[in-house]
Amino acid sequence: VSHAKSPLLPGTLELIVLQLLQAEPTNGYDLSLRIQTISKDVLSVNAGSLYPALYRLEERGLIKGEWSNTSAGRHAKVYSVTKAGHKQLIDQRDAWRRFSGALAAILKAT
Amino acid sequence: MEREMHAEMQLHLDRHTDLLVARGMSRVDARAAARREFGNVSVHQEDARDARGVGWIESIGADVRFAFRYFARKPLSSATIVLVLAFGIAGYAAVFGLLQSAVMRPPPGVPADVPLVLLRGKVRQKDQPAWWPQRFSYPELREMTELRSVFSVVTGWTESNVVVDIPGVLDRATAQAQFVTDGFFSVVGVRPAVGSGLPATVAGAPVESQLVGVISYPMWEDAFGREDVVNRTVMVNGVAVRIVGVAPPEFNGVLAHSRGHRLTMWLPLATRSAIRAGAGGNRSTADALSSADSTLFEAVGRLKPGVSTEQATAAVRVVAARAVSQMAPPRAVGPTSAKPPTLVYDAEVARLRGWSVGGSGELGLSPNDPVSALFALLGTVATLLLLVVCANVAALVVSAAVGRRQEIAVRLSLGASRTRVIRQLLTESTVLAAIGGALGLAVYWGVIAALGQVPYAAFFRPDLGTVAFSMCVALGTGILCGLAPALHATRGGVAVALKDTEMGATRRSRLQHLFVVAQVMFTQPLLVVLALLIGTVVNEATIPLPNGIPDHVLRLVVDMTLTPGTDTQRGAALDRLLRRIAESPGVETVLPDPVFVGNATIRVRAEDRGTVAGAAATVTSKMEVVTPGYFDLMGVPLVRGSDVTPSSDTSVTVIIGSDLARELFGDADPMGRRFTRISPSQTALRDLVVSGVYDSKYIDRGNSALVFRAVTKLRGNAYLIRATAPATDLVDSIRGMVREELPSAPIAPLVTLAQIETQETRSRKALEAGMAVCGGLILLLSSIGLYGAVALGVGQRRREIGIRMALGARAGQVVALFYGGGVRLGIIGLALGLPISLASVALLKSSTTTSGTVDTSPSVLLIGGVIGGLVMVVASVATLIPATRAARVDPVAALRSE
Repeated sequence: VSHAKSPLLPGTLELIVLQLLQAEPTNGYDLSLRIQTISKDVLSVNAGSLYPALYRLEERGLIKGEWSNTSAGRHAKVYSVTKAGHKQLIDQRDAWRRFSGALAAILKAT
Repeated sequence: MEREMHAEMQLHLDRHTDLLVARGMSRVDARAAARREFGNVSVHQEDARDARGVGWIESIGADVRFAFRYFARKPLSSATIVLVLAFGIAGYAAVFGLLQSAVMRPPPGVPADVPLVLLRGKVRQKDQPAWWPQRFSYPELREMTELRSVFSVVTGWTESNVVVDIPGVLDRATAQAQFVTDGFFSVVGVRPAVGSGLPATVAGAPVESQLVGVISYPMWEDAFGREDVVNRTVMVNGVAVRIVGVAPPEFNGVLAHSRGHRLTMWLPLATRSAIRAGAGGNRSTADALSSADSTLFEAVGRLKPGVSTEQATAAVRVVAARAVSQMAPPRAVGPTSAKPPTLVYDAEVARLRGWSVGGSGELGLSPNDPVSALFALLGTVATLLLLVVCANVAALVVSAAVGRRQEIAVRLSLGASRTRVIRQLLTESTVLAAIGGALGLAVYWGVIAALGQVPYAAFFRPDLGTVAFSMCVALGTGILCGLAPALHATRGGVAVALKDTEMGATRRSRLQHLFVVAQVMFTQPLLVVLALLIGTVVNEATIPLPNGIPDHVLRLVVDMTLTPGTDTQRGAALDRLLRRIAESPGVETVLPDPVFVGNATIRVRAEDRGTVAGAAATVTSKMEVVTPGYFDLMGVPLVRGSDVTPSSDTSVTVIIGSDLARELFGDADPMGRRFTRISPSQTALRDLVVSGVYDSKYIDRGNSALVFRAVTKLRGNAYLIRATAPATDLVDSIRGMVREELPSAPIAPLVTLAQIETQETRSRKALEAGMAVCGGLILLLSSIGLYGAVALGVGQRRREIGIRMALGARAGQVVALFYGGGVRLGIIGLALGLPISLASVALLKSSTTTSGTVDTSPSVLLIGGVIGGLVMVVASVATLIPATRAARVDPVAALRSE
């Protein structure tokens, strides 16, 4: 049932979710749309991966969800990044930069 | 939490549907597309639940609720599993607890952190392997106390029976006195529950000032109703002793064999001679503390830190060897043996345990120790029992799981993950195991609490460690038994499960069949042995004597060992008492109760045998010594001969039962015929001449023949008093006479034969009931095994049954197929069990004890046949239930999967 147009690198979904929620707290559905839009339709996150990932992050205290009414008048659970989540995001971002830099260097050198 | 998750995912679907509608899809299509893109909602929810740790606690709650709903739907099979487990766990916990308290824990009342060891001497004849306990002499004990390099402290004691008299409370009751050396209680680590305890001996102080004692807790309860007793005085062998303390309730002596008394006192060793002199002990009691031959003392001590029991044993051996060299040489035993036996002495130090008995070997499973062999056997039986229970539970759980394959398949196809279904099944079996375990432990606790009331079993107490261990065993059993069928039932995925094919049926059920055969195989011998034991108990019932004689006869027990004076003086006192009783109004006769002298193997002498075929047989009989008038007193008619003709020097006259006479001599006159008594070494002893025949109907003690040896005079420790009217009215006056004539003898309860009989009947009934319940449980267990195996077979072969029925097999034929299969297992088990039955009967036959032989005379084959039939009937019923279920299989339903 996977519809991903490009496979997500393992462990990157957390980083993506944290980064996007840091930019703006939002609900699960809008988050999935936003991933698709910002990645210019390259990345599509299945609901079956997204929600467990959200719950896992919530469980670890990196994000927190609150039920509120959206602009469209619906009752939705809006997630936002916690302090711990913010710290985690910075760490992961650094790690990713180092990793992608190293990868780029390898690709360029050979 | 669950609702939130659902709402959130629903919102996701709604929003996406809206988006697709906005892009121009119809609402129906959009809804479908959104669902398609989203994927399986329940799977996502499942994953999501896994993602949040809290979820599994909730889902376990749901699982448990579901499990209970399932049990409610299948009450019979669930209850069976719980009962089988409870039975197994109770048995296992009881045996394990017994082993634990006997072998691993210190004696009751002794703190576990006290490193107490038992110092023990032992002796055996050079040519025999069995060791006997050998106590220490006082000088030897003193030397042990001085072994400062291995022991930090050593204490010893010696016991005597004493007569305790407390005016208005205890009327000359027999009690056990333990005369202890200084520091006994502090070495053992026991603090008195009341009072200060025994003071240290003051050198040179007069004995009178040291006449103090600590009493046992039961004695405090019985004699003083737990009132303040400190400084009250009790008369011990007529000597006033001041009470200075009460031992704690659990503590009633260090060694198992001394714990049987309710009335126990601990007194300083220095008071021993004064108190023994009060009883008029005929040996010089002062000598007891100086002679190397007065081996009277038990000893316990604490090891020095870092000293092993082996090192201590080495030190104790040296002392013991020196003590033995100072002992007088052993005397010859028996008139025939030419030279005295060569004795081998040894000594050892062993950790003190609940069942430690002086000298009879530690429970370290040494081969010549019958007690440890018994415990090893018990342990084996318990483990076997647990194995059988596990096999049965596994069979029951597997057959239940097989029956639920359809349900499991539906759950799998609805999106439940395999782990989820396995977890469900595991939860169910674990819940069953927990219930079964709890029930079993409740039974165990009840049994132990009841046993705790029995003095000898008091060391055996409920124990949290045992409970925890058994509960782990129960849960482990549940999980293991649940795991296999859970994996089994969920294997192969949705399609296979939905098609309801047989999966690995044959191999599993072959193993199952093996278990069942083994169970039936062991059931039969166990039941045969139980039946023989019950038969023995029933047979030992005395046939009521005629004319209400049991009511008219009192049995008086006199203990002359505590009466002062020489043997002649004591004999005269006893004669005076008996004469007074005989002459008192209302008393007809007073005679000694027959004294059991041993078992004898006899055979009719060749020249005295008649034409009867059985006359040449050897007869094992109990031999009792009897005086003239006994049969008359008991109202037992003599069929032949005079009452008693005194024995001559060359032959012994005997009175035999009419049954034995008929067996050996037929209708011929048995009078004057002679028996040869055969000793174990096959050399003939004296001749026995028949001088009378009593009516066997009335006297029957046990199942071997009873032969009375006639003598004119007999001094026993029990006397029969025949009264002209029901004898209970005479009790008080006779007690009064005993008190006056034997001033220091303990007064035992005086009861009529009728009362003794009632008591015996009651305990016999209890024993019978206990054994019958055991037998019933064993039968139940093995029939459940059979039931499980057949039910499993039916469940696994549903499709085959369907095909057979579709091809025209009638219900009766299907029932016959399974019934035949089950019965065949039963028959194989019975056939294999038969040799074991015969062997165990032979074993029983050989274990002749002084208290009587086990009756194996009714044809063993008959009993075996009856038991076998019983097992078959129960097995048939256990088989028939699932077999009829097989016939109800609907061929259409069974074959639909094709």
